[in-house]
Amino acid sequence: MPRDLPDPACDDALVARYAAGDPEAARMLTLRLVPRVLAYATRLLADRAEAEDVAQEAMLRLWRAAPGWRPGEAKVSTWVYRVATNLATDRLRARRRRGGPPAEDAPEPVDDSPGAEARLIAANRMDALQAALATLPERQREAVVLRHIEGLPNPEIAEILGVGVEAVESLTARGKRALAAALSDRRAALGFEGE
Amino acid sequence: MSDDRDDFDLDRLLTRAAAAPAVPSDALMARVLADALSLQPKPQAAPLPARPAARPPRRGVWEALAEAFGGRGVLAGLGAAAVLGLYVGYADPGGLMADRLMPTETGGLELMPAAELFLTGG
Repeated sequence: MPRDLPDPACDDALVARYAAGDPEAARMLTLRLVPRVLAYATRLLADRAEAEDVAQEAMLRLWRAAPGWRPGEAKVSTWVYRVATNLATDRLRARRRRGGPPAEDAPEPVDDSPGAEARLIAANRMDALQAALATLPERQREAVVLRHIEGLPNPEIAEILGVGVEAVESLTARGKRALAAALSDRRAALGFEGE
Repeated sequence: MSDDRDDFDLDRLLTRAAAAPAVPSDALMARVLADALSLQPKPQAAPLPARPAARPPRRGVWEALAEAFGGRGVLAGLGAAAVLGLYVGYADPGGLMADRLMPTETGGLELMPAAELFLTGG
């Protein structure tokens, strides 16, 4: 389900206030943008520590760009997503150059508390989805995450990825088909059969 | 497994993923905010309180007089005329008392030539 999207005019105003020296604007922008960019980067990289680095670096670039920001020219959140996409792509390519296995988060400790089974099933589903996402080509992965998890409209995704809207539609359609194929082997792990 | 069933499961999975985003840690939020504050431009200095308007220079007597009479030129003309008047009054220059300007004798002028005849009953 798409999350509520921040009001772009409000983000513009906050950037202007930040550039004028208002510390409250810095706090508001951090609260509004960091959760979204972190969630996106985590889906792309499948590595929490790297995703945090990307989120911090994307915000750092926003702080540096703020004094020259021109309201209405680009949506702040779109701009931050684009920066995060590029940073994540750089890291994925560096990872491939090193030839190492895809990074994965450390396994969660065993949970014996009430409701642990349901949480384990939910975690398994998310792991399965993450593993399936990792099999997609980068552009398809980015398009699927932005469209179906971040809930962004196609024109905004097109702007983030620097492609046309038709290309976004093609990327998301092919990405979803590939994702479904990758998950078909893990249907039992998803645990939907009894629902 | 049918394609429809795959799509259904995938949609449910994506919906659940969207509802459970990664939550930033307090440490990450603190780092980002620290970056923001360290790079933030300093607020522009507040404008200095407005100074009281400078008092207009005090006008002198001559300035007031000149203004009252319509300007310095007019006042100078008036002054010159006054000085000339004083000079004429006290110095009594002969030239001005010449007969042409101020005749000392007047000739008889009959305004009603028949009046005398009328009074004498002529």
